[in-house]
Amino acid sequence: MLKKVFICEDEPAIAKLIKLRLNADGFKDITIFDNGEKLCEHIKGEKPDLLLLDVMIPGIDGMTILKTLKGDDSSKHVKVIMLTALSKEADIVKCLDMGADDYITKPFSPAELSSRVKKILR
Amino acid sequence: MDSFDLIIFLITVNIGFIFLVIILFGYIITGKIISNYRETRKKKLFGELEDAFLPLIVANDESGVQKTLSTIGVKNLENFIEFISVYLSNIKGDDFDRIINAIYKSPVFKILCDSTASDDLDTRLYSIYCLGLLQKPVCIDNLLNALDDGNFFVRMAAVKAIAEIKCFSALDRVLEALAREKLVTSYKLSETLWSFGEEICEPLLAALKKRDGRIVRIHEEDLLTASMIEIMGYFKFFDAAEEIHAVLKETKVNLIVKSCIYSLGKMVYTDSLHAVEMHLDSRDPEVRVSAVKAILEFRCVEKIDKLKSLLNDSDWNVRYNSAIALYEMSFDFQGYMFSPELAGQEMSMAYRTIVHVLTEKYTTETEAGI
Repeated sequence: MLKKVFICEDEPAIAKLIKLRLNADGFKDITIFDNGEKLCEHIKGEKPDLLLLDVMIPGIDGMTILKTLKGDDSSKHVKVIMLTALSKEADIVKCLDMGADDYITKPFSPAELSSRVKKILR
Repeated sequence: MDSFDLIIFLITVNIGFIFLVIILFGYIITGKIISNYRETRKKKLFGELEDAFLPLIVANDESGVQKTLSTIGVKNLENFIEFISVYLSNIKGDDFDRIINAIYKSPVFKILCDSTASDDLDTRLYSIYCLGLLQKPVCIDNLLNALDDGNFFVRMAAVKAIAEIKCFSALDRVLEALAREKLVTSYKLSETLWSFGEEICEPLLAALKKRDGRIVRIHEEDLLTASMIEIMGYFKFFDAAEEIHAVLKETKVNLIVKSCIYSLGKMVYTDSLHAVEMHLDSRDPEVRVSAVKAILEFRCVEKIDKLKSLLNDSDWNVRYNSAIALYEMSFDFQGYMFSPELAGQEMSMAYRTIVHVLTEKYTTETEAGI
Protein backbone atom coordinates (compact mmCIF):
# COMPACT_ATOMS: atom_id res chain seq x y z
CA MET A 1 0.00 0.00 0.00
CA LEU A 2 1.29 3.43 -0.90
CA LYS A 3 -0.13 5.21 2.09
CA LYS A 4 2.36 7.07 4.25
CA VAL A 5 2.11 6.50 8.01
CA PHE A 6 3.85 8.36 10.86
CA ILE A 7 4.01 6.87 14.35
CA CYS A 8 4.79 9.18 17.27
CA GLU A 9 5.34 6.99 20.34
CA ASP A 10 8.08 7.35 22.96
CA GLU A 11 8.22 3.66 23.90
CA PRO A 12 10.51 2.20 21.18
CA ALA A 13 9.34 -1.37 21.71
CA ILE A 14 5.72 -0.40 21.18
CA ALA A 15 6.49 1.83 18.19
CA LYS A 16 8.41 -1.04 16.62
CA LEU A 17 5.54 -3.43 17.32
CA ILE A 18 3.03 -1.12 15.63
CA LYS A 19 5.34 -0.65 12.66
CA LEU A 20 5.82 -4.38 12.23
CA ARG A 21 2.09 -5.01 12.46
CA LEU A 22 1.36 -2.36 9.82
CA ASN A 23 4.18 -3.72 7.67
CA ALA A 24 2.52 -7.12 7.79
CA ASP A 25 -0.69 -5.45 6.61
CA GLY A 26 1.10 -4.06 3.58
CA PHE A 27 1.96 -0.54 4.78
CA LYS A 28 5.59 -0.09 3.80
CA ASP A 29 6.13 3.67 4.14
CA ILE A 30 6.23 4.05 7.92
CA THR A 31 8.32 6.51 9.94
CA ILE A 32 8.72 6.46 13.73
CA PHE A 33 9.22 9.58 15.89
CA ASP A 34 10.04 9.32 19.59
CA ASN A 35 9.10 12.89 20.53
CA GLY A 36 6.74 15.67 19.52
CA GLU A 37 9.38 18.17 18.46
CA LYS A 38 10.96 15.83 15.89
CA LEU A 39 7.52 15.05 14.48
CA CYS A 40 6.53 18.72 14.21
CA GLU A 41 9.79 19.59 12.50
CA HIS A 42 9.40 16.76 9.98
CA ILE A 43 5.72 17.27 9.30
CA LYS A 44 6.35 20.82 8.05
CA GLY A 45 7.99 19.35 4.95
CA GLU A 46 6.29 16.00 4.56
CA LYS A 47 2.66 15.19 5.37
CA PRO A 48 1.58 11.62 6.10
CA ASP A 49 -1.79 10.09 5.20
CA LEU A 50 -2.14 8.83 8.75
CA LEU A 51 -0.57 9.79 12.06
CA LEU A 52 -0.67 7.45 15.06
CA LEU A 53 -0.10 9.85 17.91
CA ASP A 54 0.49 9.05 21.57
CA VAL A 55 -1.10 11.64 23.89
CA MET A 56 1.75 11.48 26.41
CA ILE A 57 4.99 12.07 24.54
CA PRO A 58 8.08 14.05 25.46
CA GLY A 59 8.55 17.52 24.01
CA ILE A 60 5.35 18.90 22.50
CA ASP A 61 2.44 16.81 23.78
CA GLY A 62 0.00 14.92 21.57
CA MET A 63 -2.95 17.25 22.17
CA THR A 64 -0.98 20.32 21.07
CA ILE A 65 0.23 18.55 17.93
CA LEU A 66 -3.34 17.47 17.10
CA LYS A 67 -4.63 21.01 17.60
CA THR A 68 -1.88 22.45 15.38
CA LEU A 69 -2.42 19.87 12.65
CA LYS A 70 -6.17 20.20 12.53
CA GLY A 71 -6.00 23.98 12.71
CA ASP A 72 -3.71 24.32 9.68
CA ASP A 73 -5.24 24.17 6.19
CA SER A 74 -2.20 22.39 4.76
CA SER A 75 -2.38 19.54 7.28
CA LYS A 76 -5.99 19.22 8.39
CA HIS A 77 -6.56 16.41 5.87
CA VAL A 78 -4.08 14.18 7.75
CA LYS A 79 -5.97 11.38 9.50
CA VAL A 80 -5.04 11.07 13.18
CA ILE A 81 -5.51 8.13 15.52
CA MET A 82 -4.70 9.00 19.13
CA LEU A 83 -3.15 6.49 21.54
CA THR A 84 -4.32 7.17 25.09
CA ALA A 85 -4.29 5.55 28.51
CA LEU A 86 -7.52 3.70 29.26
CA SER A 87 -8.28 5.65 32.42
CA LYS A 88 -8.15 9.08 30.79
CA GLU A 89 -11.72 9.33 29.52
CA ALA A 90 -11.53 13.12 29.52
CA ASP A 91 -8.53 12.90 27.16
CA ILE A 92 -10.52 10.77 24.73
CA VAL A 93 -13.40 13.25 24.61
CA LYS A 94 -10.97 16.13 24.20
CA CYS A 95 -9.12 14.35 21.37
CA LEU A 96 -12.32 13.68 19.45
CA ASP A 97 -13.52 17.25 20.01
CA MET A 98 -10.24 18.52 18.65
CA GLY A 99 -10.63 16.61 15.42
CA ALA A 100 -8.98 13.22 16.00
CA ASP A 101 -10.40 10.63 13.58
CA ASP A 102 -10.23 7.77 16.06
CA TYR A 103 -8.54 6.69 19.28
CA ILE A 104 -6.98 3.53 20.69
CA THR A 105 -6.71 2.99 24.42
CA LYS A 106 -3.70 1.32 25.99
CA PRO A 107 -3.33 -1.56 26.59
CA PHE A 108 -4.34 -2.15 22.99
CA SER A 109 -4.79 -5.12 20.75
CA PRO A 110 -2.41 -4.85 17.76
CA ALA A 111 -4.99 -6.68 15.64
CA GLU A 112 -7.65 -4.11 16.53
CA LEU A 113 -5.25 -1.26 15.80
CA SER A 114 -4.54 -2.75 12.42
CA SER A 115 -8.22 -2.95 11.45
CA ARG A 116 -8.87 0.61 12.64
CA VAL A 117 -5.98 1.87 10.51
CA LYS A 118 -7.28 0.00 7.47
CA LYS A 119 -10.79 1.36 8.03
CA ILE A 120 -9.57 4.95 8.24
CA LEU A 121 -7.35 4.70 5.19
CA ARG A 122 -9.91 2.83 3.10
CA MET B 1 64.11 16.56 61.15
CA ASP B 2 66.94 17.62 58.77
CA SER B 3 66.43 18.69 55.17
CA PHE B 4 67.14 15.18 53.79
CA ASP B 5 64.39 13.68 55.92
CA LEU B 6 62.04 16.43 54.81
CA ILE B 7 62.73 15.69 51.13
CA ILE B 8 62.13 11.95 51.70
CA PHE B 9 58.91 12.78 53.53
CA LEU B 10 57.65 15.03 50.71
CA ILE B 11 58.55 12.44 48.04
CA THR B 12 56.66 9.74 50.00
CA VAL B 13 53.62 11.96 50.36
CA ASN B 14 53.68 12.80 46.64
CA ILE B 15 54.03 9.16 45.60
CA GLY B 16 51.19 8.26 47.93
CA PHE B 17 49.06 10.98 46.43
CA ILE B 18 49.83 9.86 42.87
CA PHE B 19 48.89 6.26 43.80
CA LEU B 20 45.66 7.52 45.31
CA VAL B 21 44.78 9.43 42.12
CA ILE B 22 45.65 6.37 39.99
CA ILE B 23 43.44 4.14 42.17
CA LEU B 24 40.61 6.67 41.96
CA PHE B 25 40.85 6.90 38.18
CA GLY B 26 41.10 3.12 37.93
CA TYR B 27 37.95 2.80 40.01
CA ILE B 28 36.03 5.28 37.85
CA ILE B 29 37.20 3.74 34.57
CA THR B 30 36.47 0.17 35.75
CA GLY B 31 32.99 1.30 36.85
CA LYS B 32 32.38 2.84 33.42
CA ILE B 33 33.59 -0.31 31.63
CA ILE B 34 31.36 -2.54 33.77
CA SER B 35 28.36 -0.27 33.28
CA ASN B 36 28.95 -0.11 29.51
CA TYR B 37 29.30 -3.88 29.40
CA ARG B 38 26.01 -4.31 31.27
CA GLU B 39 24.29 -1.80 29.01
CA THR B 40 25.60 -3.55 25.88
CA ARG B 41 24.54 -6.93 27.24
CA LYS B 42 21.10 -5.54 28.04
CA LYS B 43 20.74 -4.00 24.56
CA LYS B 44 21.83 -7.27 22.95
CA LEU B 45 19.32 -9.23 25.02
CA PHE B 46 16.55 -6.73 24.26
CA GLY B 47 17.39 -6.97 20.55
CA GLU B 48 17.24 -10.76 20.66
CA LEU B 49 13.98 -10.70 22.59
CA GLU B 50 12.46 -8.20 20.19
CA ASP B 51 13.53 -10.28 17.21
CA ALA B 52 11.87 -13.27 18.82
CA PHE B 53 8.74 -11.69 20.28
CA LEU B 54 7.68 -9.23 17.59
CA PRO B 55 7.21 -11.90 14.89
CA LEU B 56 5.32 -13.96 17.49
CA ILE B 57 2.93 -11.09 18.11
CA VAL B 58 2.57 -10.20 14.46
CA ALA B 59 2.74 -13.57 12.71
CA ASN B 60 2.08 -16.08 15.51
CA ASP B 61 5.49 -17.71 15.05
CA GLU B 62 6.45 -19.52 18.24
CA SER B 63 9.67 -21.30 17.28
CA GLY B 64 11.98 -18.27 17.56
CA VAL B 65 10.55 -17.31 20.91
CA GLN B 66 11.13 -20.71 22.46
CA LYS B 67 14.72 -20.67 21.22
CA THR B 68 15.41 -17.23 22.71
CA LEU B 69 13.62 -17.96 25.95
CA SER B 70 15.75 -21.05 26.48
CA THR B 71 18.79 -18.77 26.75
CA ILE B 72 17.33 -16.67 29.57
CA GLY B 73 18.90 -17.56 32.87
CA VAL B 74 18.67 -16.11 36.38
CA LYS B 75 21.35 -13.55 35.45
CA ASN B 76 19.17 -12.13 32.71
CA LEU B 77 15.96 -12.27 34.71
CA GLU B 78 15.95 -8.59 35.66
CA ASN B 79 16.42 -7.44 32.05
CA PHE B 80 13.93 -9.98 30.75
CA ILE B 81 11.26 -8.76 33.17
CA GLU B 82 11.95 -5.14 32.23
CA PHE B 83 11.52 -6.05 28.56
CA ILE B 84 8.43 -8.17 28.92
CA SER B 85 6.67 -5.72 31.27
CA VAL B 86 6.57 -3.10 28.50
CA TYR B 87 4.66 -5.46 26.22
CA LEU B 88 2.42 -6.97 28.84
CA SER B 89 1.34 -3.57 30.10
CA ASN B 90 0.72 -2.14 26.61
CA ILE B 91 -1.02 -4.87 24.68
CA LYS B 92 -4.07 -7.04 25.18
CA GLY B 93 -6.14 -9.63 23.37
CA ASP B 94 -4.79 -12.65 21.51
CA ASP B 95 -1.31 -11.14 21.27
CA PHE B 96 -1.13 -10.80 25.05
CA ASP B 97 -2.25 -14.42 25.49
CA ARG B 98 0.33 -15.63 22.96
CA ILE B 99 3.18 -13.98 24.88
CA ILE B 100 1.95 -15.37 28.20
CA ASN B 101 1.61 -18.89 26.81
CA ALA B 102 5.02 -18.78 25.13
CA ILE B 103 6.67 -17.85 28.43
CA TYR B 104 4.59 -20.42 30.30
CA LYS B 105 5.72 -23.21 27.96
CA SER B 106 9.38 -22.20 28.17
CA PRO B 107 12.01 -22.97 30.84
CA VAL B 108 11.77 -19.33 31.95
CA PHE B 109 8.56 -20.04 33.82
CA LYS B 110 10.28 -22.59 36.09
CA ILE B 111 13.18 -20.17 36.62
CA LEU B 112 10.67 -17.51 37.68
CA CYS B 113 8.94 -19.88 40.10
CA ASP B 114 12.23 -21.06 41.62
CA SER B 115 13.51 -17.48 41.86
CA THR B 116 10.75 -16.57 44.33
CA ALA B 117 12.92 -18.33 46.93
CA SER B 118 16.26 -16.91 45.72
CA ASP B 119 18.82 -15.59 48.21
CA ASP B 120 18.92 -12.33 46.26
CA LEU B 121 16.21 -9.85 47.24
CA ASP B 122 15.93 -8.22 43.79
CA THR B 123 15.59 -11.59 42.07
CA ARG B 124 12.79 -12.56 44.47
CA LEU B 125 10.99 -9.28 43.87
CA TYR B 126 11.37 -9.36 40.07
CA SER B 127 10.23 -12.95 39.74
CA ILE B 128 7.17 -12.41 41.93
CA TYR B 129 6.25 -9.28 39.99
CA CYS B 130 6.53 -11.16 36.71
CA LEU B 131 4.49 -14.13 37.95
CA GLY B 132 1.74 -11.62 38.80
CA LEU B 133 1.88 -10.32 35.22
CA LEU B 134 1.74 -13.82 33.78
CA GLN B 135 -1.39 -14.67 35.83
CA LYS B 136 -0.86 -18.44 35.82
CA PRO B 137 -2.42 -20.07 38.93
CA VAL B 138 0.07 -22.95 38.73
CA CYS B 139 2.69 -20.82 40.55
CA ILE B 140 0.39 -20.15 43.50
CA ASP B 141 2.35 -22.38 45.93
CA ASN B 142 5.52 -20.38 45.28
CA LEU B 143 3.64 -17.16 45.93
CA LEU B 144 2.01 -18.51 49.09
CA ASN B 145 5.47 -19.44 50.38
CA ALA B 146 6.61 -15.89 49.60
CA LEU B 147 3.92 -14.61 51.99
CA ASP B 148 6.21 -15.85 54.78
CA ASP B 149 9.32 -14.16 53.33
CA GLY B 150 11.50 -12.21 55.77
CA ASN B 151 11.24 -9.05 53.68
CA PHE B 152 8.16 -6.82 53.81
CA PHE B 153 8.36 -5.78 50.14
CA VAL B 154 8.57 -9.39 48.97
CA ARG B 155 5.54 -10.29 51.09
CA MET B 156 3.54 -7.37 49.69
CA ALA B 157 4.63 -8.22 46.12
CA ALA B 158 3.41 -11.79 46.69
CA VAL B 159 0.04 -10.53 47.95
CA LYS B 160 -0.27 -8.31 44.87
CA ALA B 161 0.71 -11.16 42.51
CA ILE B 162 -1.87 -13.50 44.09
CA ALA B 163 -4.45 -10.75 43.62
CA GLU B 164 -3.42 -10.30 39.95
CA ILE B 165 -3.84 -14.05 39.43
CA LYS B 166 -7.26 -13.71 41.10
CA CYS B 167 -6.72 -16.83 43.17
CA PHE B 168 -9.74 -16.59 45.46
CA SER B 169 -8.96 -19.92 47.12
CA ALA B 170 -5.90 -18.19 48.63
CA LEU B 171 -7.93 -15.24 49.95
CA ASP B 172 -7.86 -16.45 53.56
CA ARG B 173 -4.06 -16.72 53.44
CA VAL B 174 -3.83 -13.26 51.87
CA LEU B 175 -6.09 -11.73 54.54
CA GLU B 176 -4.07 -13.44 57.28
CA ALA B 177 -0.86 -12.09 55.78
CA LEU B 178 -2.28 -8.58 55.46
CA ALA B 179 -3.56 -8.64 59.04
CA ARG B 180 -0.08 -9.66 60.25
CA GLU B 181 1.51 -6.66 58.54
CA LYS B 182 -0.22 -4.16 60.86
CA LEU B 183 -0.14 -1.49 58.15
CA VAL B 184 -0.85 2.03 59.29
CA THR B 185 -2.84 3.19 56.28
CA SER B 186 -5.65 1.42 54.44
CA TYR B 187 -4.36 2.53 51.04
CA LYS B 188 -2.14 -0.51 50.44
CA LEU B 189 -4.81 -2.87 51.75
CA SER B 190 -7.55 -1.43 49.54
CA GLU B 191 -5.25 -1.38 46.51
CA THR B 192 -4.38 -5.03 47.05
CA LEU B 193 -7.95 -6.18 47.54
CA TRP B 194 -9.04 -4.08 44.56
CA SER B 195 -6.53 -5.94 42.35
CA PHE B 196 -8.62 -9.10 42.76
CA GLY B 197 -11.40 -7.34 40.85
CA GLU B 198 -15.14 -7.25 41.39
CA GLU B 199 -15.36 -11.02 41.94
CA ILE B 200 -13.67 -10.59 45.31
CA CYS B 201 -16.84 -9.21 46.92
CA GLU B 202 -18.61 -12.50 47.55
CA PRO B 203 -15.64 -14.31 49.17
CA LEU B 204 -14.82 -11.10 51.01
CA LEU B 205 -18.29 -10.98 52.55
CA ALA B 206 -17.98 -14.65 53.52
CA ALA B 207 -14.57 -14.01 55.07
CA LEU B 208 -15.88 -10.97 56.93
CA LYS B 209 -18.76 -12.97 58.40
CA LYS B 210 -16.40 -15.80 59.40
CA ARG B 211 -14.06 -13.29 60.96
CA ASP B 212 -16.47 -11.28 63.06
CA GLY B 213 -19.97 -12.61 62.70
CA ARG B 214 -22.04 -9.48 62.57
CA ILE B 215 -20.24 -7.57 65.28
CA VAL B 216 -16.99 -5.80 64.52
CA ARG B 217 -14.73 -5.90 67.55
CA ILE B 218 -11.90 -3.53 68.36
CA HIS B 219 -8.79 -5.46 67.47
CA GLU B 220 -5.62 -5.00 65.48
CA GLU B 221 -7.36 -5.98 62.25
CA ASP B 222 -9.70 -2.96 62.20
CA LEU B 223 -7.89 -1.43 59.26
CA LEU B 224 -8.26 -4.64 57.27
CA THR B 225 -11.94 -4.97 58.19
CA ALA B 226 -12.50 -1.36 57.13
CA SER B 227 -10.77 -1.95 53.80
CA MET B 228 -12.82 -5.11 53.19
CA ILE B 229 -16.03 -3.16 53.77
CA GLU B 230 -14.87 -0.27 51.56
CA ILE B 231 -13.99 -2.56 48.67
CA MET B 232 -17.50 -4.03 48.70
CA GLY B 233 -18.82 -0.48 48.56
CA TYR B 234 -16.43 0.49 45.78
CA PHE B 235 -17.73 -2.37 43.64
CA LYS B 236 -21.34 -1.58 44.71
CA PHE B 237 -21.83 -5.13 45.99
CA PHE B 238 -25.43 -4.74 47.05
CA ASP B 239 -25.66 -8.26 48.55
CA ALA B 240 -23.55 -6.98 51.45
CA ALA B 241 -25.65 -3.87 52.10
CA GLU B 242 -27.84 -5.36 54.83
CA GLU B 243 -24.82 -6.86 56.59
CA ILE B 244 -22.90 -3.59 56.47
CA HIS B 245 -25.96 -1.71 57.68
CA ALA B 246 -26.11 -4.05 60.68
CA VAL B 247 -22.41 -3.50 61.37
CA LEU B 248 -22.90 0.29 61.23
CA LYS B 249 -25.68 0.10 63.82
CA GLU B 250 -23.57 -2.00 66.19
CA THR B 251 -20.00 -0.74 65.92
CA LYS B 252 -18.49 2.03 68.00
CA VAL B 253 -15.18 2.08 66.08
CA ASN B 254 -14.96 5.27 64.01
CA LEU B 255 -12.77 3.63 61.36
CA ILE B 256 -15.42 0.97 60.75
CA VAL B 257 -18.23 3.54 60.94
CA LYS B 258 -16.55 5.56 58.18
CA SER B 259 -16.05 2.54 55.93
CA CYS B 260 -19.66 1.37 56.46
CA ILE B 261 -21.07 4.81 55.63
CA TYR B 262 -18.82 5.05 52.56
CA SER B 263 -20.02 1.67 51.29
CA LEU B 264 -23.69 2.23 52.01
CA GLY B 265 -23.46 5.57 50.21
CA LYS B 266 -21.81 3.98 47.17
CA MET B 267 -24.48 1.26 47.11
CA VAL B 268 -27.16 3.97 47.50
CA TYR B 269 -28.70 1.79 50.22
CA THR B 270 -31.31 4.29 51.35
CA ASP B 271 -32.68 1.89 54.02
CA SER B 272 -29.62 2.88 56.03
CA LEU B 273 -30.48 6.61 55.92
CA HIS B 274 -31.42 6.76 59.59
CA ALA B 275 -28.21 5.03 60.71
CA VAL B 276 -26.15 7.28 58.44
CA GLU B 277 -27.77 10.60 59.35
CA MET B 278 -27.08 10.00 63.06
CA HIS B 279 -23.38 10.34 62.23
CA LEU B 280 -23.82 13.85 60.83
CA ASP B 281 -23.42 14.86 64.50
CA SER B 282 -20.43 12.58 65.18
CA ARG B 283 -17.59 14.04 67.22
CA ASP B 284 -15.12 12.79 64.59
CA PRO B 285 -15.02 15.24 61.63
CA GLU B 286 -13.98 12.43 59.24
CA VAL B 287 -17.12 10.52 60.16
CA ARG B 288 -19.22 13.66 59.61
CA VAL B 289 -17.60 14.07 56.15
CA SER B 290 -18.40 10.47 55.17
CA ALA B 291 -22.01 10.92 56.34
CA VAL B 292 -22.37 14.11 54.26
CA LYS B 293 -21.00 12.29 51.21
CA ALA B 294 -23.45 9.42 51.72
CA ILE B 295 -26.37 11.86 52.04
CA LEU B 296 -25.30 13.28 48.68
CA GLU B 297 -25.18 9.77 47.15
CA PHE B 298 -28.73 9.22 48.48
CA ARG B 299 -29.76 12.63 46.99
CA CYS B 300 -31.68 13.08 50.22
CA VAL B 301 -33.24 16.54 49.85
CA GLU B 302 -34.96 16.12 53.25
CA LYS B 303 -31.55 16.63 54.84
CA ILE B 304 -30.88 19.98 53.16
CA ASP B 305 -31.55 21.88 56.41
CA LYS B 306 -29.02 19.72 58.22
CA LEU B 307 -26.45 20.27 55.44
CA LYS B 308 -27.10 24.03 55.68
CA SER B 309 -26.29 23.94 59.38
CA LEU B 310 -23.06 22.03 58.61
CA LEU B 311 -21.89 24.98 56.51
CA ASN B 312 -20.95 26.48 59.88
CA ASP B 313 -19.17 23.35 61.13
CA SER B 314 -15.86 23.85 62.95
CA ASP B 315 -14.08 21.55 60.45
CA TRP B 316 -13.24 22.88 56.98
CA ASN B 317 -13.71 19.50 55.27
CA VAL B 318 -17.19 19.12 56.69
CA ARG B 319 -18.13 22.65 55.56
CA TYR B 320 -16.62 22.07 52.11
CA ASN B 321 -18.35 18.71 51.53
CA SER B 322 -21.66 20.06 52.80
CA ALA B 323 -21.43 22.93 50.30
CA ILE B 324 -20.56 20.47 47.53
CA ALA B 325 -23.53 18.27 48.48
CA LEU B 326 -25.88 21.27 48.48
CA TYR B 327 -24.52 22.44 45.13
CA GLU B 328 -25.01 18.98 43.59
CA MET B 329 -28.59 18.97 44.92
CA SER B 330 -29.19 22.30 43.11
CA PHE B 331 -29.51 24.29 46.32
CA ASP B 332 -30.27 28.01 45.88
CA PHE B 333 -27.13 29.51 47.47
CA GLN B 334 -27.95 33.05 46.36
CA GLY B 335 -31.37 33.03 48.02
CA TYR B 336 -29.85 31.46 51.11
CA MET B 337 -27.02 33.98 51.49
CA PHE B 338 -29.36 36.96 51.21
CA SER B 339 -32.19 35.50 53.26
CA PRO B 340 -33.37 37.90 56.02
CA GLU B 341 -33.52 35.08 58.60
CA LEU B 342 -29.69 34.94 58.62
CA ALA B 343 -29.35 38.66 59.37
CA GLY B 344 -27.28 39.24 62.48
CA GLN B 345 -25.93 35.66 62.58
CA GLU B 346 -22.21 34.86 62.38
CA MET B 347 -22.04 33.34 58.89
CA SER B 348 -18.52 34.23 57.73
CA MET B 349 -17.29 30.60 57.68
CA ALA B 350 -20.34 29.43 55.75
CA TYR B 351 -20.12 32.28 53.24
CA ARG B 352 -16.42 31.71 52.66
CA THR B 353 -17.05 28.02 51.99
CA ILE B 354 -19.94 28.76 49.62
CA VAL B 355 -17.87 31.27 47.65
CA HIS B 356 -14.97 28.80 47.50
CA VAL B 357 -17.16 25.97 46.15
CA LEU B 358 -19.04 28.20 43.69
CA THR B 359 -15.75 29.57 42.32
CA GLU B 360 -14.30 26.07 42.06
CA LYS B 361 -17.37 24.74 40.24
CA TYR B 362 -17.54 27.79 37.96
CA THR B 363 -13.85 27.38 37.00
CA THR B 364 -14.22 23.64 36.33
CA GLU B 365 -17.37 24.08 34.27
CA THR B 366 -15.89 26.98 32.27
CA GLU B 367 -12.78 24.93 31.47
CA ALA B 368 -14.94 22.00 30.40
CA GLY B 369 -16.98 24.33 28.19
CA ILE B 370 -20.26 23.58 29.98
